[in-house]
Amino acid sequence: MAISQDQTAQKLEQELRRGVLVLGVLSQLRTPQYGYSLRQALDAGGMPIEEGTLYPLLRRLESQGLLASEWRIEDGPPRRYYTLSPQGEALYEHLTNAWRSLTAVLEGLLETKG
Amino acid sequence: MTPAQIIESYVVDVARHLPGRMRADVAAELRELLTESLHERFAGAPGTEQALEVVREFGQPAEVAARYAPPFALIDPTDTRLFITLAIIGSAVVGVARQLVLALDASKFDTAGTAEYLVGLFLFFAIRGWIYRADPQKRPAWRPAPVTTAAPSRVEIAFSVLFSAVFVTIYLAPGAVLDFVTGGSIGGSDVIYTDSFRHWTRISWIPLLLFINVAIQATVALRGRWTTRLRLADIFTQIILVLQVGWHLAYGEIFADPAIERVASVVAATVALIWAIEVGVKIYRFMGAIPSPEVTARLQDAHEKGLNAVRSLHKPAD
Repeated sequence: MAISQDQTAQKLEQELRRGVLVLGVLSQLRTPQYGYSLRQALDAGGMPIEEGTLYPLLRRLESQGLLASEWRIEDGPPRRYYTLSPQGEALYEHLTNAWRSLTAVLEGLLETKG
Repeated sequence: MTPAQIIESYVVDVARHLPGRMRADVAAELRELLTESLHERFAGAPGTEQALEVVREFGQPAEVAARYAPPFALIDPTDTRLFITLAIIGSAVVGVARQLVLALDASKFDTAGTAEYLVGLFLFFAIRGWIYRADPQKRPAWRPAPVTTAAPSRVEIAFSVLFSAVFVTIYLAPGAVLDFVTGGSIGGSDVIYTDSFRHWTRISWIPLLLFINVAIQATVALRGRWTTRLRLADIFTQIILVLQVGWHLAYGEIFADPAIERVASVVAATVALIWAIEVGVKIYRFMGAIPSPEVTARLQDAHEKGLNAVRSLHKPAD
């Protein structure tokens, strides 16, 4: 079955978003957040993300040593809070610089006629 | 079911797909997150339908578990195509070999069956994939293999024609050949076919197939290259040859002397097995063949000429 133009555009846009998802998540974890609050923060910032994608991503980043987590009880049920580890902070700086460099390059390419 | 039970059932289902060391921790967090999500989205007292909506939106349990702990394949995806090809061709060759041995009805001969071959092949790929995943450095660097060209190998063609001629001579007059080779010391006159085998419906097919093989080789030699049709004809002829030998062995009653029949059957089965392996290799190579640079250049040239012809038709009249 042929994939329509809309589906192709949607898929490519999803790939673009997936590429910057980690940077978006790291940016919000400079202060401790638990899964649901992080999702709301990303949503409010214009980067909505499905729960089924975000929560496993947090665990993967933690297993890579980029996030630290702990269970806390603060006026409610126990929640697992995530924050950047020292390694995560270094990576966040690195990715931020890479992102700025990349957007500058792409701006140049987009303004140049091919 | 209550909303809490639906969430619990979902969490249990996700956890079942996770490695043991992650299960308890992920389950505790997921339970809390789904409960919080349910109450945030549906204020008041959310019901069963709302709970189902939340967990279904979260995703299929197996897929969610795969996001937590990325799954691995027993046969690496990069190996799957090769595995299938080797499984199909190898099974056919092993199946033919098995039938040849069974046709001989020799209790001292035995060979692995197709099932054993497939299990062995699977284990080979699974263990190799596991080693490479554990240590990617162990994957050997790519090395260039000899390039198969459409140009025929003169040695191969000469050997094939010579073999066919010798085989047909022995086949049609085994006793005379034996006398010629041994100087009559063994008694070639005893090497005679049964009346059943001498009938044209049995004896004529193998010489005919070998004659077709010689014709194919001669065509390749004259044209100076293999074409797709010639390769297919070569493969098809060889498959029929193997089946023909297998049929003779299964039917029996070839030589009048049972002792000679026994020895000749082993020889014929061995030749058929070599042909079966060879045809397997030919099919494998044929399936992976791509047009040579010369053929691609010719196609591009023809395409360009076609385009020019079309362009000339659309030229505005002077």
